[in-house]
Amino acid sequence: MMRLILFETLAVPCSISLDKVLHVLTSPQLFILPLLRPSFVGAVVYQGQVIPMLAGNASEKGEGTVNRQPAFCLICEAEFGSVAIPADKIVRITEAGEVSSKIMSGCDSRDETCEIDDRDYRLLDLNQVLDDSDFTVCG
Amino acid sequence: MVDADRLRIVFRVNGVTFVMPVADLLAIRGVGEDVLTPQGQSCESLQLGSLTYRETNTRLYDLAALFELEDGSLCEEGPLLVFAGSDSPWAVRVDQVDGVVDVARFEFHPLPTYLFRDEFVPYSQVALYEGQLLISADSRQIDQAWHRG
Repeated sequence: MMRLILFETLAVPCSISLDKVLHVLTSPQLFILPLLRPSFVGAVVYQGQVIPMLAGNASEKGEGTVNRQPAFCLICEAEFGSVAIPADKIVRITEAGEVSSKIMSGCDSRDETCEIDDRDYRLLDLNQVLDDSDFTVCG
Repeated sequence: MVDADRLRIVFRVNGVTFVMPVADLLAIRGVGEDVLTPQGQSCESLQLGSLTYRETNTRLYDLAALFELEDGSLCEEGPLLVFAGSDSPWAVRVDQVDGVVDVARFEFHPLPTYLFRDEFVPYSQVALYEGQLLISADSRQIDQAWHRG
């Protein structure tokens, strides 16, 4: 049964399959790295490894918010390797069966959302990160 | 005897910390060094001026601009680091030099190429040092970037 972790980044409700989440870090230290693709802002250190962190949104670079330290980050597993997702708030983890596989099966678009608790949560597909150079957590 | 190949210099520019091999470093020039500012438009946009190092005209470049470090807090009176280049030495002004450290104290981590904006980014790895993540580059990578402008 698919379960999702629901969270907010820059006030945007987001979600990702719990199967992809390895760890949730509280108060992670984000190190800004220069000259990255727009999808990334820097990296965090997790268990001695350097994990790239996704940008919250497209304006995170160059508008004075690049030094923003997120309250949480989700260390996730993608096909290309581990990646960190910034989150300002962890909402909850859905129950098994709460989100139908029918809803999830269509999750191949960057704009796909899932309605839970009367809110539309953006469903993150990390495999799009390498295909879409403008991919960010908030779309 | 100290082996320069085992030493790295740690310095900061606009709030970002860099580490480079001491073997690439020719000199650290102190505060008050005379820098000749180019007259009119520089032929190379990243060049800030020039100075004389061992009777050689040495170009002073803008490392913050190369790495697009937009903080803008670079100290204009900071030390100058002179590095070996392929054709001639080059120099950068930094905010401060944190020190010279044995290479064994760093953990170097190559970064995957998909992270970078393009193939010409003048660093390819970071270094963990005392809980901080440093940009690890060498003189050759940065020298090539100056020539690309």
